[in-house]
Amino acid sequence: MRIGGIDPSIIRELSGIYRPFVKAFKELISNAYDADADLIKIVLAQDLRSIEVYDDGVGMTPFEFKEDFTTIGGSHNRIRGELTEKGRPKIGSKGIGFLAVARYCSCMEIVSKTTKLYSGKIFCQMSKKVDISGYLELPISREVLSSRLRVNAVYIVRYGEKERLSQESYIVDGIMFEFCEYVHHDQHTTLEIHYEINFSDIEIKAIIDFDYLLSLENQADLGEIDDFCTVEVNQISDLDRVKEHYTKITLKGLKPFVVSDLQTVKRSGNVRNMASLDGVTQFVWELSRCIPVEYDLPPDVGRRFGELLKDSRLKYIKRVIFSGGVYSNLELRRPIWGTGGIGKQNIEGDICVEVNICDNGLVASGYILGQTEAIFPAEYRGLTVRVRNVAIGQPGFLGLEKLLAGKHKATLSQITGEINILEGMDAIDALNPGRESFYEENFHYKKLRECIAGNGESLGGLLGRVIQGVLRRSQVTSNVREYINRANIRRKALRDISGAINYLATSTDFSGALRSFFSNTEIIGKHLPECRNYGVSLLPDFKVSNFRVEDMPGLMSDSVIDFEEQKIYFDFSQERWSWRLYILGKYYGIVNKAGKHNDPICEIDTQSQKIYINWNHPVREQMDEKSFIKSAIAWRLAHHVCVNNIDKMMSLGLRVLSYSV
Amino acid sequence: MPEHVLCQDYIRGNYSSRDKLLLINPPVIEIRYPWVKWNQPLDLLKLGGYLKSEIGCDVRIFDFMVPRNGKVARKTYKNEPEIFLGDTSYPLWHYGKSFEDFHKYLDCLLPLWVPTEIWITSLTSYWWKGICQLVLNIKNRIQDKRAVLYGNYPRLEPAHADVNSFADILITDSVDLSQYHADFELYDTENRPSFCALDIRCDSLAAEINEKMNLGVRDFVLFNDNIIESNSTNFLSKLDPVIEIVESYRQAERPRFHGICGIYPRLFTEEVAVRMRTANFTEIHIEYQTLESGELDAQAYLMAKESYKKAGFALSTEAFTGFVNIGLPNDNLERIIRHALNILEVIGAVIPKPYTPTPGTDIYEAYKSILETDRIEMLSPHLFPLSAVNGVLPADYDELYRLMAFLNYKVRQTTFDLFPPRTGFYSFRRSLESEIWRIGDKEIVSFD
Repeated sequence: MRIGGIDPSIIRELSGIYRPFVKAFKELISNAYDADADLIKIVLAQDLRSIEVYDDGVGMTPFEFKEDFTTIGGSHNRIRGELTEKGRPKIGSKGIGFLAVARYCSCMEIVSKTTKLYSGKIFCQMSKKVDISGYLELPISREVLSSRLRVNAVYIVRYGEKERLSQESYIVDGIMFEFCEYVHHDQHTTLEIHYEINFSDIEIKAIIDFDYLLSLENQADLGEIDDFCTVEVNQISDLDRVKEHYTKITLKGLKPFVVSDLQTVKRSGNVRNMASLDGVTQFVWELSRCIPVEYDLPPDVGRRFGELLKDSRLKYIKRVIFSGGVYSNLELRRPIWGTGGIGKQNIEGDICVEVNICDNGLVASGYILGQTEAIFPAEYRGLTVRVRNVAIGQPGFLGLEKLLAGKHKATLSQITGEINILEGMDAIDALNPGRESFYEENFHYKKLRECIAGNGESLGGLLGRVIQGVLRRSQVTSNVREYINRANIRRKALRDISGAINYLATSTDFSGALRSFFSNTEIIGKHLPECRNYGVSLLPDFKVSNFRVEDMPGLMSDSVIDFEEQKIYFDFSQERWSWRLYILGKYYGIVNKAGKHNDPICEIDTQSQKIYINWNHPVREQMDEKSFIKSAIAWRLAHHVCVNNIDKMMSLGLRVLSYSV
Repeated sequence: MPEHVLCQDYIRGNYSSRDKLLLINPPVIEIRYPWVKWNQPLDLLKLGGYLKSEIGCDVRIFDFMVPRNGKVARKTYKNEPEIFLGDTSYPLWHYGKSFEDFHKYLDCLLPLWVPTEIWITSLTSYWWKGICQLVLNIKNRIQDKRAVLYGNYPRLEPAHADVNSFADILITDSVDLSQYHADFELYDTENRPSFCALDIRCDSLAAEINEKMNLGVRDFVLFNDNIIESNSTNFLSKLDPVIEIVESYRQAERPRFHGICGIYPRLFTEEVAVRMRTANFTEIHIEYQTLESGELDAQAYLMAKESYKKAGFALSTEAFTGFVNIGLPNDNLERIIRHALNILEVIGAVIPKPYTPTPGTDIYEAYKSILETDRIEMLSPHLFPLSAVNGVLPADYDELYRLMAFLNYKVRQTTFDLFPPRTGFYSFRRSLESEIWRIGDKEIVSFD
């Protein structure tokens, strides 16, 4: 079979557009989709050296195989906005066709059968007899063709004027056309014969030798080379199969680097990203992400965004089944973040938005979802944009990642999303040949980017809204965590004090003095009890964020943050919030006071079982809360217990401070 | 001051099916704890079973001493890293899980389940520091809930516990729960011990073993002071159903029994030995047995060894040993060494077993005046509290430990054979007699 002349070096360049292998392979699925296939079966050989795709699409006539499949730019799919018979917007448009997989395998075998009637026409010089088969350039024997070809109409074309001949004026015997009578003509007269061929009992089988094709010297004329593609046309004798239509493509001799990738074993240990999984799983996952199969929606995402993702304009292949590696008849569904229970989704209004664009011919829908933690697997980070239900490139942020810095940029690892272009983004003008990226000057692309990412100067658009939401959550969550940590540290300090006093009272030289002190109920506070209470409570940032703190008894967790209502709930009955400590059989309450600078740092009242701490004492400036609490109580206690004995006072104070539960 | 109560009265008078009880086996603060891996709060486990089945309480357990990967953690006791005995200091260790682990456990537990009371057991009174620290942690953490102290500490040292334990309730008696099975379901699956302590007095021993086997437990330990008792008929009758169970399993899956205490040589008859072997005892440690004169009951040891051989046991030297008690008021170093060597010769390995007088016993009362009854942690047997009576210094006891370690040291599974007719014996004896270790008055030779 001959191919229209193109320099092999260009062929090699074009075949490199589709990277990696799965992106090239997906083109075969796209072809099957365009062929209205409802069932696609993919079988990866056990030795990983070949892979087969079977689809029940309309199949190809030999003409279609030659024109669409093996001709650069020859695809009739290029017509803008064309739909298949089932109403699917056609994916294929560039006419690169078979080249997508050329560099990944040694050869490709195609077996196809159609039930279509092929209609065509030939143009020839006027002649009494015309051998129609000579103009078809098909590797079909004349005998096979003659029983299937039917001439529908014949025209004589003179100086641009067409005149249809009556059927009586000619006879067609198989592939031979013959005038019954003389028809006046001159050198400018041409014949236009419209024919129809019934291929329903014909199966074509072709083998394209990529190794040979890509090894050709530059500037070799492909038109002169017959050897790289062999085509057979076989008649099917089984009448039951006449009604079938299918295409089966087998990629044979997958290159070592492809096999090596597929053979990759899963990394040991705890892995979170798809890239750490075994090669076949990665292949299946990538394929599921980029081909037009139905979404595998996690429940929360389904509830919130299901309607947007099930728009009737989105057409899917009903079933794509994969077998290979550890998989047997795996039905492919499109995974998104949260599929399979991976990741705990947070679908709340401040960090997720619907995408609903209808502007100047661009119609797009989907969602953007932010999370409070980095998203794993990392491959889900970013927005996946699909045109005609096929993912364009890797998930990204429409260039916004180049403009952002610092904490804004850091939040990008916490954002995922799906955007389906339902109208607009015509393939030729919008997408580069490999469908891996957009042409940035495309009008619809600019519209999309503006809506999603803003005007390029500042953080804006829907993505900007989500980023702000994520940042605010991080800030509030961080503040709450810090608040809880401070409470835990304070509580530990109080437990240490309690442990120290009780321990020293049981087994040291101080036991008698300590017991005596705490059993004396006449020690009272003199200055601090009269002072205003000091609230050791909220961090100032809470006020900036407009969040209110409320008590929620019976909380199972440390806190609950309601970002939508802007409330933070704590259970203040939890031990960490307690200001009581156990000393020698009694509970003492800590009361924080706003005393004067020259008021005592602490007073112990054994009568009311209270310990007052002066939070305005200047020592507070020199130490953290935990040290201040411990120091205040330790030294006051030492002062009381070791009256007039500096050495003992120092010893007791230091022992109380150094004790740890 | 805590309230003193009797166990059964307290339980019957205070608990119902509405009660949630947290049982805790506390960490051990000690200078040495060679048998730490066999620590199991059998009393709490039986008590838990009793409370669940008889009263209907919701019961949980936190066991500081559950081994993790077969080992119990040991860390320096940071608040008192060493303890002094005269001029000698000994490092003080915290055995078991840390208090941080306990607080993490409570962090997970308390939001969902708050106990109405907490029971803490105590195997000994001299480990009171760990108990005290635990109670304080509880009082601060689970405020206003009563802490009930159970076990030997409140029973033997109530006055000390009154002042130093900080518990609210002291159980001053012990209750016989021997017929109840240890309730292993108090543990969650990942913290369940891999062995089960048994009480020989339990009539349904076989059923308990079967029950634990179904939970994946393969190792069983008998903790009683005298397993065989003076009349071995009872012991043998207990073993028969156990043997039935053992033999119903394939060899590799059979339960294993560890006789780590309570086996006296005079009671280790051939019949007993045969039964114990059939029951798959994989470890036998013979208790120290002396005559009234204080000399070793050699006949009993010889008989025990005969029984061992005739029963067909072939245990390793670590698995068949004899104890020699040390730290007794009438200790005599020469006699201890002699007895150790005797036991070594007959049994094959010897383990020193330090002694401490139990409060309330005759020996304790006899020597109370010289014992540190205020600092009851000093009654730890590893501190040889009767050292002042017998005149053997703690340093000397340390040497005894070293000697026995040396005697037990193995090369290629075998200890140095000190006894004839080995050549080593004669060489060693001649060397000792001729005092070859002395340099003496040898001429100093110059190397110039």
